[in-house]
Amino acid sequence: MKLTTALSSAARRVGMYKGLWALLWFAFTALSLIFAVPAVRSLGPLSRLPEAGPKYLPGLDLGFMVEWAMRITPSAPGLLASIVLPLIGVVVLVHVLVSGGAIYRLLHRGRVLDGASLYFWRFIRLALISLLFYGVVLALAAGGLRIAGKIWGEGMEAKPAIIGEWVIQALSFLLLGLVATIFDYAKVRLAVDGSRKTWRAAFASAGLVFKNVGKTMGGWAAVTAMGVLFFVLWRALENAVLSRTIGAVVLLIVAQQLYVISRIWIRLMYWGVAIELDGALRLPPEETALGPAEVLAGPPPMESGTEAEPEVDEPSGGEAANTDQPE
Amino acid sequence: MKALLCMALGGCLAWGGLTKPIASYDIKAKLDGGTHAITGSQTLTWVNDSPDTVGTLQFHLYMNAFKNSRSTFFQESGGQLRGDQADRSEWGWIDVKRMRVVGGEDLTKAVRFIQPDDGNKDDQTVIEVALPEPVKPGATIRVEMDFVTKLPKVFARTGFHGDFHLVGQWFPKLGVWETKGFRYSQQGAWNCHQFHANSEFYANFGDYRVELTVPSPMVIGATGGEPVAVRKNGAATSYTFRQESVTDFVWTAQPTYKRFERMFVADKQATPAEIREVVRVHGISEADARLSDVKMILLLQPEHADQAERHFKAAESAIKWYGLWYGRYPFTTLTVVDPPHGGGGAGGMEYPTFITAGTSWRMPADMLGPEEVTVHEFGHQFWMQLVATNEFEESWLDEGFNSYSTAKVMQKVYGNWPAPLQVFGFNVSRWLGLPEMDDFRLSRAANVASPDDDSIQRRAWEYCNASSYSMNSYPRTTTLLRMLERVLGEDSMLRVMRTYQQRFRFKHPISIDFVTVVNEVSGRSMNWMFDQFVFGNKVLDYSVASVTSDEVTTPFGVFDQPGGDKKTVSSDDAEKQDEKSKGKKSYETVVKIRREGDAVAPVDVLVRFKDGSVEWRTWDGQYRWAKFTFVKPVEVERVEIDPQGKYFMDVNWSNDVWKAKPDKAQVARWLSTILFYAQNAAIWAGALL
Repeated sequence: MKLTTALSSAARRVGMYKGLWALLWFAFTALSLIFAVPAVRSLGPLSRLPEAGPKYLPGLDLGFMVEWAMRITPSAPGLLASIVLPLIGVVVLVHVLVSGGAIYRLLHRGRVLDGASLYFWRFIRLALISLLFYGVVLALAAGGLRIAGKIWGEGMEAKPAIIGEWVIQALSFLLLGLVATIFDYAKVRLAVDGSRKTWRAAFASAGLVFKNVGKTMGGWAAVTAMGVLFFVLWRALENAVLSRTIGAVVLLIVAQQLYVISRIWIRLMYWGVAIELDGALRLPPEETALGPAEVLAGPPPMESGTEAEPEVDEPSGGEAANTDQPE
Repeated sequence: MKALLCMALGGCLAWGGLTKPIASYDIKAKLDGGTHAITGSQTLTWVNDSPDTVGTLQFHLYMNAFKNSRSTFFQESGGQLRGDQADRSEWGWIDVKRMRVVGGEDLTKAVRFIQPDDGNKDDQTVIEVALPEPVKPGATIRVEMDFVTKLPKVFARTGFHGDFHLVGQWFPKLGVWETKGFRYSQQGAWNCHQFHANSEFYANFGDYRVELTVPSPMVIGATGGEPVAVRKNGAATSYTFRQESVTDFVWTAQPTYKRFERMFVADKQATPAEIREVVRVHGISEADARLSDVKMILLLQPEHADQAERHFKAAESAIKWYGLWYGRYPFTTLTVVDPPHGGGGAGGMEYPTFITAGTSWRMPADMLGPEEVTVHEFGHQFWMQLVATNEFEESWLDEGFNSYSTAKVMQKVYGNWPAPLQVFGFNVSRWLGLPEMDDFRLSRAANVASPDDDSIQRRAWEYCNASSYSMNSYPRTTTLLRMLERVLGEDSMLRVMRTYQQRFRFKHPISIDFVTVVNEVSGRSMNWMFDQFVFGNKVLDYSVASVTSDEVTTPFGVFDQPGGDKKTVSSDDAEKQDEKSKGKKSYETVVKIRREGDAVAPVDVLVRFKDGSVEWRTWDGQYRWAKFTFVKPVEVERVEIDPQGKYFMDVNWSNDVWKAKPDKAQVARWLSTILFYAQNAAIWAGALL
């Protein structure tokens, strides 16, 4: 399968489930409100400042943000323990549920909640395994920086050291992308195989990604580039809206949320491309959740929770019992 | 011929500089580029300009701070300063090999180390020598000294890195004799502190003549700018520099410097309108307002050669605005030195007519680090090279004053600047829409973070910790001076600062001298500000405690009447009366202001009503709270403490304002912005799981 084909198929697949976009938007927004609402409440008294007061710039200027942070965070360890760590925990849980539900929906057209619960523990284990892989990347980056420092740090010129740092940073970014891609494929593999073997899925996906690095990382790069494009468009629009009237604020809010939805689409596209390429690049597993194929005279009898896999080059079609129609 | 020579000698000895020389040095030194050691001899000429008879001499041997881990400097700093770590394989030290009075006795054996600050017997940064004959009041003594200085690997402002040498605090330097009543002196004594981790320097003005012999390929720069003589001698070259009326001498040598020169032409830099403005504000003549030409010498690292223009622009801006505001820069040269990668410990430092800046390869044009450091270090020419305060004892008078002045120049010339977030050589913070900065707001934020660790005024090594030293010397003083400017008004503040600069140029003022100038020039007593924040550590915070606006209703009950009768008004009658006068309501507004902090300051309160009318009140802040009552036909709309934003030291501006209705658009914008950032952060986090 060509990469362009995988991308367009993934786009079609993701495009069929707009309800999924809405669900993910809701989940991330709810998650974000846990932080945003208390933050704005602490800013509350400032809402009573005159609009063009001499004390504050008309936005959230850095000096004001530092003052605000100094006031609400008497101690960094306290802040870490009471807010940051629990928030990280909640973020991880929400992501695991969201990814399970989304992949189940994209792959099997199943219900999001079914997927979320079905894959929850597998994806939690996968997330923990990913820490090992990310740790390796960070260790390589740190080691690289140290080596660069040893070679060029003592010189009179910073240029070689700085270029060395850039190279290491770029490689680290690519490696982080590689690891993220590996675990996208691992999630898809677990979902396709119906397997619980998370270590095997992780390493097998690593092998798959490395063996087909052109397509797999090419897919990652293409989707990432789309994300960068959306970001550039968003920044251009935000810079154009300078007014602080209610109308302008509403416009800005709408534009912000459209951008968030585009980020969600990008996230789904990473999984969509993984689904398309996983099917194309892997040999079929010896045992699948669907069982061996039968050659029937007519359409196969429908059973709950199973449906025929769509053709690779064509959009998913057909009906499935107990699932929603494509949107 | 003899007569001519005597006349020439007399001319040389005459006071030809900007001030009377007290401690002058004639130094000959030779740098060994391989061992990074300097062999030197100097003749110190000291004038006892006091009514005291002085029987000893005390010298700083600053370089011994880097001799071993037992020095006071090393013990206080833990071997690191400003993020630089001392290289433990390349220590620095200075040895006085010989000392004798010119035409007199050998004093070498009489030299002994003393530790006037902390009694640390291992610290060798101060020596004292007893004189065989004391120096009488008004007399002059000349002392010859031979010394060897070994430079450390660049650390704490001085040293070498590769073939780069920044040679600062390198020769035996006389302390300052302070007679009774001079500064804080209770009796005539030497002011000659040990070198501490948090301290800088203090010395008398004098004339310097320095002959430096370095390996010929070296490009050299020094106090004084251009050498007055150059002599080649085989593989070495000797440069002679002269500079009068300064407190120190520094030099640098590196074979690969890129040297640039440019003239600061005063008439081209300062416009006639700007000169007229100075004349107007200060009531001085145009001749006094004018600046003078300065030769700028820039010694850049080869890989930073493309940043020459940035450095020149920053230096020009600093010479211009410091000159217009505080008085022209009196010297004819300024040397700006750019240390190499790995030599950053020598950067960001000031010496007479010579500063070290600092930049990096491919520094983005909108990351203003090189500009800020160039402006700041030049500014030190005014605050402590010319107004030569004692940096050991009153660091706020130079660092804080200069930080305030630097912030003004940066704001004037460069405006707000973006957060320094570099990705592959490009500053992306504006592109990401990150907030911008300005020095005053950041200084204020630092003050908010720790407003009361110490008083601003303390001896450098007596602050709670290094962070408190930095906080109080730099941003807290900047915030205080900004507040002073807002309280007095900009023109008045300019007059204060110029008067202080001009009055104490080539002198050694103390904190109270500045306070006196403030009071005198402004015509007001600002002692309350200095007593609480400079000599004390109080915290300023006012708040609008409560605001109510209740309708005034007809009273009910029993009321005395004229003639001794009583009238009873029932609540029903009162209500009926209120109904009748519905169109003629009035409201009693009660505003309570509270002093949350322990600093007391007179404060303005603005109360705006819904019909647009405004009431101003002033509260002296003496008691813990105050109440203001108004009866008006409309309700209150807004209450604001310090509406002109004068009190920069107030640690919480958010409680200074009460508004009847919140600004919904602002709340919506903040909520949408924070929510948006949080959503993106949440999605980013998921990308890695």
